[in-house]
Amino acid sequence: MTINRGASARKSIKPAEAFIGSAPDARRKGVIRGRKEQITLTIAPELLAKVDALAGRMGQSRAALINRAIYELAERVTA
Amino acid sequence: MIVTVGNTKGGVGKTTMAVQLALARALAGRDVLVVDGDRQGSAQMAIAVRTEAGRLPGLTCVQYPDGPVLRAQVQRLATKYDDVVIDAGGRDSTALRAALILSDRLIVPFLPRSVDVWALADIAGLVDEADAVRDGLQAFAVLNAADPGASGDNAEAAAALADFPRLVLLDAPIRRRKAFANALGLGLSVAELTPRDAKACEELAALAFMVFGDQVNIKAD
Repeated sequence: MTINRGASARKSIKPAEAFIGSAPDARRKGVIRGRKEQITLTIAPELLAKVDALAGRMGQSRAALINRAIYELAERVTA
Repeated sequence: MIVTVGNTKGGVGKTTMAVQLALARALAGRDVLVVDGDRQGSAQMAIAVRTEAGRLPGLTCVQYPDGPVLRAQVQRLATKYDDVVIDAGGRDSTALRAALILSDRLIVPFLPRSVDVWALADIAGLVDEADAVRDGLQAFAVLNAADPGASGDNAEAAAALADFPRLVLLDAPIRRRKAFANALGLGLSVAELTPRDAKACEELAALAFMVFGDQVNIKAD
């Protein structure tokens, strides 16, 4: 028998997840811009100057360079 | 059986009631898991005090303030214990909602005060939402820290439950007694506390019987 008309089958897992995820503490506090989350980063002026100089040489934005550096570090550490 | 002691309102004595119910079951020979769904971790603290004192029977306690984690972990753990008591709430949270999805019974403690009665609408609303997602949740409300003696406020608060038919009144009020707070601080059941408060013991025994008994005595008004 492949037909299951039980109520428990109709009430699937996904609505339960949505119910749990609707609680106020489930909402993210950060600001989402597109597919990325905005964060605040403080950085030493000397290091920022190096980042900007490197970004200029590589033809990248400051944010792109910082993202790439963090990505490469994370990949290396978790490898 | 999985029982949640929960309310979206804080300060109604959820943790005290959850730990006392769990200890009542443990003292009856059941292997009990307590799930602390509150970031504050008061239930876990009380049980840690009990464990450090080497008091037997012991209770196992885990803390999952995150709803999805609580749901996944308790689903796995529930089969390994005779009873699971979840302490959740104080506000609408993922942990409380996950507990509502998992539990056989919800026990909502409330005080005989206007603000507590007003707040019942919130937890009753959550139960309605849970009903849309699952079947079979039994939801009860019980007076906690009720006034001593025959109080008009107790009766009025109990009568106000009629506005929330989804919450069935358990006629086993817990009255305001220092023994409950003192016992929690020591990680003890009121039945283990010295000097013994016989009335507190009777009240807890009556509540535990109704909460875990096969037949729940529902007050007919």
